[in-house]
Amino acid sequence: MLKKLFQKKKEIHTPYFRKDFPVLERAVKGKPIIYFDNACMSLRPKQVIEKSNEYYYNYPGCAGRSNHLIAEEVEREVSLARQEVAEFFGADSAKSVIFTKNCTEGINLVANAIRFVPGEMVLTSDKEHNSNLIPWLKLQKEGKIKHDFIESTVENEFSLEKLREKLREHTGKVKLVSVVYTSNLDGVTNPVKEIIEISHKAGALVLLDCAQAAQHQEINIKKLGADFISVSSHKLCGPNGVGALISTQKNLQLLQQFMVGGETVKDSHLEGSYNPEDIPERFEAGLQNYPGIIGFAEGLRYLKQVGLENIHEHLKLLNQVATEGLSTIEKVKILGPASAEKRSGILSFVILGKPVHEVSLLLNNLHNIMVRSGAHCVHGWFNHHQDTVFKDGTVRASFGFYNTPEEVEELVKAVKEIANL
Amino acid sequence: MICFIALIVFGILGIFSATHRKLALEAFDCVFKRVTLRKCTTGLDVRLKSKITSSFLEKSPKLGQWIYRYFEVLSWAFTILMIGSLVWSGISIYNYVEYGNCNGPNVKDQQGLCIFDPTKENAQISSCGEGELVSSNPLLEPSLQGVNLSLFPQYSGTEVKDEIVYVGCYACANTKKVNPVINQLATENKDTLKFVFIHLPLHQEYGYINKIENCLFVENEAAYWKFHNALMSMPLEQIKDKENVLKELEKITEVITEVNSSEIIYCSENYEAEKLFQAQIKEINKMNVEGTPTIFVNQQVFIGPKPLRVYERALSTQRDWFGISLIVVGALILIMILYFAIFKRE
Repeated sequence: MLKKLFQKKKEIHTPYFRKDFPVLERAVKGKPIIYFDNACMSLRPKQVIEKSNEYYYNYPGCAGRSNHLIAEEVEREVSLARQEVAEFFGADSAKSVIFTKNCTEGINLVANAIRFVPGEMVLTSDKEHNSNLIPWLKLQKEGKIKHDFIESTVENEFSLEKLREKLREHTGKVKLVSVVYTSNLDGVTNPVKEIIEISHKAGALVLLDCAQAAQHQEINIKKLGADFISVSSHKLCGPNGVGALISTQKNLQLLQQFMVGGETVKDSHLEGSYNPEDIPERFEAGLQNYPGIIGFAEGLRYLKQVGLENIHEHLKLLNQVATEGLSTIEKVKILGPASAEKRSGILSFVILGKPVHEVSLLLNNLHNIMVRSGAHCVHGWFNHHQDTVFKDGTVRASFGFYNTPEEVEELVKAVKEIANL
Repeated sequence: MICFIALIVFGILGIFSATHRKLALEAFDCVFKRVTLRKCTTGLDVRLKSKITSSFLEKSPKLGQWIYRYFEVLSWAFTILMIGSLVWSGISIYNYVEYGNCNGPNVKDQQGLCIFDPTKENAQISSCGEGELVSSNPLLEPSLQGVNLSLFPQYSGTEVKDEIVYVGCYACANTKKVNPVINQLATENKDTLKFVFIHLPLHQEYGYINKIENCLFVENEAAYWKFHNALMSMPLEQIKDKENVLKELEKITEVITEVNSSEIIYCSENYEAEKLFQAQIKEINKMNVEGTPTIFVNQQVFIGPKPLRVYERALSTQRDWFGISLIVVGALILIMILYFAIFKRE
């Protein structure tokens, strides 16, 4: 039945791509591993690994500082990577891409570089990852801003009505609306186009946490009209320790320097003055993660090759298979909208009476199925929903385009077995 | 509850491996929280349950399922068993430090199995054989009740606080083993001790030594203690030969000229000496000792050669620092547990 469902839709030729991921060849106790923790970190294809290694083998130097051959080569690769990222996210220019350590650092950069006037507000949703909550709570604690959140609907979806209410309630005070594009909690994708329109009308800037969204749907900052978007490479088939904050030249001019040091200034004087470097280098303090940056761009090229639309459809399909399978198990409760279509490649659930960590460990120990359990860094949401069956966290299976329907069926079978223990 | 067992297991494994040390610390954190009535947040219990049940589920689904369902009950059962055995081990350690054996102060217990003294070295005695001079009733414990100690060689310090009655035998290996310990004890506490030595001749043939000693003690106490020490130092093989004993007496009388060896030997062979010896044997029989060494420190009996600390603890002049430390540590742990349970609740 599940396979039939698959045949109805356009399917990615999964085996073709699977061979690019060496880790998928691993077997434990004679059984292949099943990786369903893609919301935490995607796997890396050989192409990315080789591209990052290329830096260490061929041009392991500094970009933008020295003028020898190796330095020029690395400078060229980094520039190409910046161009690739800019194109992938529809930035107005490569100069609008600031390389960061990860999505979290991008959000922190905005939080600390925007000039807030005391009393100004930042609005978030109630499902923000700690990365897009703690920076604002910290500023609030320091008395620099006020923070408020927009409560989700009963189905755990973003409420545009409540956003409007909040903006009305705090007219003229909301400086920034910072929301997640696709939630890592339940996979729900927020109506960001509408959020941006409404927020802009109210005079607020918009920052999008695109960590989850970027791996399965096209994000074009220009088309969306967003002011800032922040992404992580490790969720986009790229290396760890690199990400990007993408904006427009106009918006980046509004930011003050946050982290400073090498490469962020053109000149400095012992007497106290210094001249900031041009954008984007003025925001990239110290020596950068060149192999990461180069690999990041290669990851994006790989995703383009697979096709974001294809990935999106494939993940939806896998989620549909999983949702239909798990829905037949009485003790299983799924977090978020009932329809798998609305949850992209993420399926958060609990088995009533079974601690979530226990379920994930049993899945791992018995079936080599790797999922995540707990609060998924969205503690705020769980603490706000202590009266639900999800109060102690959830088990989260997050699919990747290299996952197969057979693997999803294996998950369903395993969850059924654990539920009956 | 599984964390209690994990703490012990990983604690031991942690001595050898850093990975297990980390797990032991996690288990400790979990146990500490449980003991202080808080929730264990390390997740170690869940990990252990999953790991254990998974391995059973893989081998036998039915057994695995049963273990999964009753895991908490099983954990409780094993934890109770483990705590029980830990308590018993603790008592054994205390007894070993306090009495030199794992089983406590009772005479019968002193002969029992002890893991810290597997060869029973601390409990070995040289026993009285059938038809020998003294006999004992195995149903009764050794005692000094009604025993006239004034019949035996002894000395008293200037300010007597404790009494040691040392029943030994010059021709016995176990007495020779404990003798340096008793000497040290007697020397270190000479001002506060009443020290009585009772030579228990396990064989009739050694009775002559008692008679010589009695005469020597009456004649010159210093010469007696010199002779006593010389016999204790004499190798077992040599002491079996009467000639060697008499030679030793000769040597002593050469040093202490007030004493004449011929007179002592003459004294030991007369009727009065025999009478005193028989009276001594009668008193020894009252003690109901099974063999040597049997040492009474105040009213506590120690059978076999014990370490010095054991005898010292029985003296009234010694503070029981071990016991005091145990009480202090126990009280501190209790205060800490109560503090965390009351003031540090999450």
